[in-house]
This record gives sequence, structure tokens and C-alpha cells, in this order.
Amino acid sequence: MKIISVDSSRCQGHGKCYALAPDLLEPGDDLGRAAVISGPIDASDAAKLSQGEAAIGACPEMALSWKDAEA
Amino acid sequence: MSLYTIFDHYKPPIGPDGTPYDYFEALRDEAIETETPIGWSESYGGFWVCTGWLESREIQRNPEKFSSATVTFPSYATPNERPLMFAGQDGEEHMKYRRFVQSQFSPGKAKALGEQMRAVVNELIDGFIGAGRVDIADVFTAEVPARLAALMGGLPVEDAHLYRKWTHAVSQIGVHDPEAVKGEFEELDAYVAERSAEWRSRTGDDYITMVGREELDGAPVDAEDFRDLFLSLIMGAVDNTFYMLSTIFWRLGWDKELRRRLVRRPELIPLSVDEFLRMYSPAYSGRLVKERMEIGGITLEPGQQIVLAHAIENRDPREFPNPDVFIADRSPNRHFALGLGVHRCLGMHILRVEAQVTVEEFVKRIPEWELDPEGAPKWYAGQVGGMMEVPIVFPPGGGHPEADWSPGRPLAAA
Repeated sequence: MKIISVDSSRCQGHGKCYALAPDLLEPGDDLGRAAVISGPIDASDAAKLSQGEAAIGACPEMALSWKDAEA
Repeated sequence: MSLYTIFDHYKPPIGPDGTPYDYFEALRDEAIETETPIGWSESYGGFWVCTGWLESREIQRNPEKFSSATVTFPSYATPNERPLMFAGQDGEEHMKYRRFVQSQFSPGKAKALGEQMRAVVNELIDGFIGAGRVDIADVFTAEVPARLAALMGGLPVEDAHLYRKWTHAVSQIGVHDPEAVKGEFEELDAYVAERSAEWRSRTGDDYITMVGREELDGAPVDAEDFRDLFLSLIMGAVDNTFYMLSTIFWRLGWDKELRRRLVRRPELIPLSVDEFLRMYSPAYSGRLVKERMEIGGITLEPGQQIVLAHAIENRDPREFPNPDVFIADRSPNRHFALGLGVHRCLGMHILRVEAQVTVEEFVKRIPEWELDPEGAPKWYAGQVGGMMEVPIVFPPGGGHPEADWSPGRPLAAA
């Protein structure tokens, strides 16, 4: 299980992540900074994992990463 | 001689395709081969040019070491000689104005505007779809963002031509000849002055009403700030976006394979907007060095100017494999077309929706077009740049996807 994580000190609200990963992230404030809406994601959930990969690869601030989560 | 030496964003060598990209690619290749991601140009008294993605990121992430006071270089003429609001501000002053307006640029606002923009885009297409031969930059890609500025500001759409004219005055004329735009600035001043009483008393949730109603530092916005906030709205809407959209229609005009792919798979359009931004980044960002810094093998000294060449940085092969190839769903795609860090483009959510809606609606109505064999696309090079004239031909009425059609041959009445 892993969870997507936003480093709020880096996020500037580009908004590319929630466009690519609408099941994982959403705009969290007027600046458009990302908020996590998904809990831990199972290794078998290919759709969500691929959304997360796309979001991580799109962030120009490199503010997104995977974190290990307890099952 | 290094290709850096002749770098001049206002006068780059233009290649056979009508763009400066042959030169950009050659400069990029030199930078990679010689490991010089930052080099010295002899233009304008001398300045540094950054072509490296990694180095640009480092500079944009350190606003305390790099001032935005010279974000336009040479500086744009402005009505009051203050630097451009937002882009040309630093530190707390920058954040103060940004916080003041940011609710108008939220993702939610962009989404709502997107739906209104579909109607605007279709109305414009109605105006020229019968013609079959137009300069798409003039009738469409300049008009879309100017009308969006009107929508965002709660301003009359009939005034969109003024917003185009004043933006053009600042970004293309005033920078070379400040005297030549004095009349334009007087006209702009009068436009704001005549309307500001009404703007301050009306109701609505648009940008101009918000600026007229909300307090900044505990007081109503003064006349000078109001004029600058108005100018930021129209320039922010029109300047970069016009070039970006025009370049998109130019590329799709000759790249039939890509165009047909987007027609068949419109779900690729949102991602390809980012790939267009990467490949044809319209803007350069200037910075004034405030503290000595070692970067990219050179030493930047306080008082020196550096220009971040996003169009070249975004083709840095150290970050983007096959950087000169358009990959609609490229991932990762961490381009800097819209900047990074505290100065990231304020209107980015709106721009993305706008570009998406514009392309989506256009290819639905006019799926097949080509560059006019009797016309010549014209590139504008400057602080922001891109295609500014894109003569195209298409089947009058719009035609059908992948129909066997060639320019100049009238369609059989269907």
C-alpha cells in the first residue's frame, strides 16, 4: 500500500496533478494547491497507480511523491 | 564563436520553417556538447542566457537571489514606468497583489469560464467558417483571449479590439520606442478613469468588480493600482496566449498526422496543450542578479542580467528525451513555459482551459485545414513570441474529418 503525498512547501498550485489524477488529488485552495483525496492505494489498483505516476511526472515543482502506507 | 554571443530574443535567426527553432536547437546542442547551460550574449550591453532546465529551476526557486524587476529585458514601457504588476514585482509587494486577486484565477473559476468560452469560441468560428481562407491569428487566436479578458473583467466584448491594441502597444512597440505609445497609454488611462466610478459601485463576481470593491491594505484600491490591475488583466490574458494559440494552429496546419490524431482522440487535447507549451514556450523571464552565485560552471555577479530562455530550456535533453519531438501525452513533462515557484503564471488554470476549449471546439467544426499555400506565416520574436500571422485554408463550411480535400479545390456540394 502506498499513498500520494504533497509537499506543501513546494506546491505552487500548477494544477497539473489533479487534472491527471482526479481520483487522488483535487484543488485545495484559491491558489490551486493540491489536496490529497485518496487513502492508501493497493498495489493491484493499476488505474490509480498510473494516475499517481502521471501526476508525479507532471509536477514542475517536484512536490509529489509516493509514501509507504500501512495496510 | 559561441551561438550564445549573438543571442537576441528580439532578433533571432529565422529558419526556413519561419521560426527561430533551428537556431534554438543549434544553441541547445552547443550548450550540451560544451556543458555550458548558461552563456554570455553581447546584445544589449551584455547579459547571461540560461538554456539549461536544471539551472533555470535553481534560479526560479531562489527569488531572494534573483529579482524580477527586470523580468522584461529590455524593459517594457509602462504607463507609469513602474514594472509590470505581478511579473515585475518582488517579495512581499508581489505577494500582496497576488493574494488580492488570486481568487479570480482559481481552478474553479477557470472551469466556470471554460463553459462560457465554448460559446465565445463558437460564435467566432461562425464568423469565418464560410470563408475557407483566413488569417486565423487575426480572426480567431487574437480575438479569443481578448474576449476572455472581457469575460473575466465583466467588460464589454465590443472593447476586445482595444485590449488587443493596447497589449500590442506595450509588448511590440513601446519596448523599442516608448514615445510611440504615449497616445495609447493616454487612451488606456482615460478608458479606466471614465469607468472607474461605475466599476467601484457595481455588483458581480468578476475581476474588475472585485478590484473595485475589495480593500487592499485597509483602503480602496487607488487609481494607479486600479489602472495597473486592469492592464495586467488584459496583458495577462492576451499577450502570451495569443502567440501560443497561433503557434498551435500553425503546427496543426502542417502536421496532418497530429491534427488527425487530436480529431480522432480529443481526450488527448488537454495533455497536448502542455506539450505545445513545452515545445513552443512563448515567454522569456528576465532576472536581475542580487547575490553572487555559482551555477552551471559560471559565476553570476550582482547587478548582472540573466534571461531564462524557456523555449530552449524546455528542449533540454537531460530532462526531456527526444526533446524536439511532439509527444501528445508526454510524461513526465515538467516544462517551465508557465514559470515556476512564486512567479508561476497567475492565469495558468484559465490558460489551460482556454487552450483546450479553443482547440476542441475548432477541430469539431473545422477538422481539416492547411497553411495557405499563397500566404506566409509570420513569427514575432520578442519578450514573448510565437506565430502572429497564420494564413490558413479549409473547406468552406468546415468540411468533414479526413475527407479527401486539398486547398484550392472547391468541395462538391454535399
